[in-house]
Amino acid sequence: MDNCCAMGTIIQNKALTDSIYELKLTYQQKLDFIPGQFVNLKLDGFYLRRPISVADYDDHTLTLIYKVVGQGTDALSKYQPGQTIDTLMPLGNGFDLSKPIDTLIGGGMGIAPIYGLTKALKDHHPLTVILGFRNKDEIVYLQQFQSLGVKMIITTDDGSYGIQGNVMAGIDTFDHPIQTWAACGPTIMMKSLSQTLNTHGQVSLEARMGCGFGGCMGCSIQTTSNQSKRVCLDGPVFDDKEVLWDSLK
Amino acid sequence: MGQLEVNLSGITIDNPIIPASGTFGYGIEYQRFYDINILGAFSCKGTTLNPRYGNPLPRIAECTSGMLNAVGLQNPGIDHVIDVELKELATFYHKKIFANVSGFSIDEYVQTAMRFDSCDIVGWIELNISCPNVKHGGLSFGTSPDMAAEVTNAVKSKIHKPLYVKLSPNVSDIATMAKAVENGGADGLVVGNTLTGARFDLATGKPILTNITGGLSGPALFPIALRCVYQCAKAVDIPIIGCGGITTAQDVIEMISAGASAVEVGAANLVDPYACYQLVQSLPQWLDHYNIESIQSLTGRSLHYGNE
Ligand SMILES: Cc1cc2nc3c(=O)[nH]c(=O)nc-3n(C[C@H](O)[C@H](O)[C@H](O)COP(=O)(O)OP(=O)(O)OC[C@H]3O[C@@H](n4cnc5c(N)ncnc54)[C@H](O)[C@@H]3O)c2cc1C
Ligand SMILES: Cc1cc2nc3c(=O)[nH]c(=O)nc-3n(C[C@H](O)[C@H](O)[C@H](O)COP(=O)(O)O)c2cc1C
Ligand code: FES
Repeated sequence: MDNCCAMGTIIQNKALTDSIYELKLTYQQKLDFIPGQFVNLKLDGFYLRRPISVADYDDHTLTLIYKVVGQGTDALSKYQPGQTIDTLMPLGNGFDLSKPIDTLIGGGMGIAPIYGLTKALKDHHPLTVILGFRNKDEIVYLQQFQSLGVKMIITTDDGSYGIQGNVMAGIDTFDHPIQTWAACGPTIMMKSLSQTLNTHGQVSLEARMGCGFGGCMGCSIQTTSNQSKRVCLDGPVFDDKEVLWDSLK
Repeated sequence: MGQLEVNLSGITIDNPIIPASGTFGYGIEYQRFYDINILGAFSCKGTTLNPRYGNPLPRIAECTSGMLNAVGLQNPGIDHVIDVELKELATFYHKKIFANVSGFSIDEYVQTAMRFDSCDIVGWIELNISCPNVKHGGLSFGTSPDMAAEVTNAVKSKIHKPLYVKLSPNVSDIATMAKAVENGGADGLVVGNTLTGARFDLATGKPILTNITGGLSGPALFPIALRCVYQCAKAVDIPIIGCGGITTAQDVIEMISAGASAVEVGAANLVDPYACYQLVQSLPQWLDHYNIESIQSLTGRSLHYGNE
């Protein structure tokens, strides 16, 4: 799919918890994304767009999962079916599907792109998916993941569901070493994964963005190769060994 | 000349729409959205002698009708820009660019400008003496009339292409700056850069930007930019490119009325990558709507009002 600005019509904007929503939009054109790519939404009354990962899509429907964390996402949660949203897409590189991935790790809202990735990989080889949440009340998309028929491990920080602890506690239950992995979640989670697992990993990063398509250098990170890279265009997915973790907040 | 054509120091451009430095990279990212040859020209990312990573993240904050940036002149350095970015640009872009030059000393400005001066694709050198986001950066040249004149003169004496100097609105008297730069030998002005601002996190009180302050751009800046252009146009005889907050064709008309010969458009491109494409498409109908014969005839239409 070529880069474009398209009008999406909301068909559903449903609360999954008191702060997490599932948004479904339809578009006239045929959609096509690589898991890990994102869209940038123009919301009424806000100057900059809001970047949100593609969780799922079919020919004309896009599914996003978002958490209300500020004024923009709060305004988004009040949009009603039938309203339209100017959408810039598809953005970013997405996960590299030509590289093997056997373990998928999502923390918090990081589960959104991990869902799309799991869906894309599940028929090709056995996968283990580890999802970490703060507590039972923040668990979303469990049934959707379960219906993909992959091995699942759930962790909660307070132990109110599944294994107590963060995703690292989930990894500790493995009886085999992790070979290849992909992760999206809080920076601190991905940093400890990268420092603990010395096998190949792909991580999806976040940054405040001016544009989302490489035009402003607002999102550039420093990398171990001493080259800077834009989270929006060269990422959001990076090789974990490429990221200078200490330079990120 | 046609309805949209403008002459900027000997080079005629097809229309007055010029994407502003730092919001259009080296053109390459936008070619994926539309054929950028429809533009009048564009101004490339601020380039320095040596590569710069810029400021730590976050570098971007939002505000009502605008944004703050503290990118801090990230660029790969003049050698890389000439050998890689401009080479790639030349494979699909057949017009001229404004080569935006930043520096930390007069010598650095001169050296970088001289390198751009020998590039075919460069039509004009644009001297950024107004970047608010780097310590000891260009802004010290942009707030002192003497230093501004000195750096202008030093660069002008070493290059052949027309020299445009980009002023900062972060001064109490922009007309004095404009005059100083004109006397220093500038062929034109870009008025202007961003205005310094800040935002703080409500929950923690922490600055949103790691740099604490950042440059304000977008519609919030528009009336300030109009005032600056008006004051500069009253003070100098060289052409002015108006810049700050321009979003619509009506904004273009207003800016040119205030004394600009052409406009640069920055943040609008970031929010809508097609912004300049749409400006080029919609400008003729808005000129017709207001019975304006040509862009050229419009320049400075508002200047005889008031006695500034
Ligand atoms: C590539 C990418 C994918 C993302 N995918 C998802 C997703 O699938 N689900 C989800 O819930 N969230 C996702 N986010 C985070 C989401 O963009 C922010 O939560 C959202 O922009 C916050 O907007 P706000 O107006 O509510 O917050 P405010 O704090 O009021 O926003 C102020 C400004 O800061 C920016 N901002 C604030 N927090 C973030 C952040 N964490 N990342 C980037 N920009 C931020 C906003 O975009 C806005 O410009 C993603 C971010 C990126 C970069
Ligand atoms: C992200 C960003 C980066 C910028 N980088 C530069 C730069 O490198 N050199 C420069 O002269 N101006 C730079 N500017 C300033 C713009 O060129 C322009 O002068 C300013 O944003 C005001 O115009 P606007 O309101 O249309 O954006 C930058 C602006 C933004 C938003
Ligand atoms: S957000 Fe503009 S370059 Fe990445």
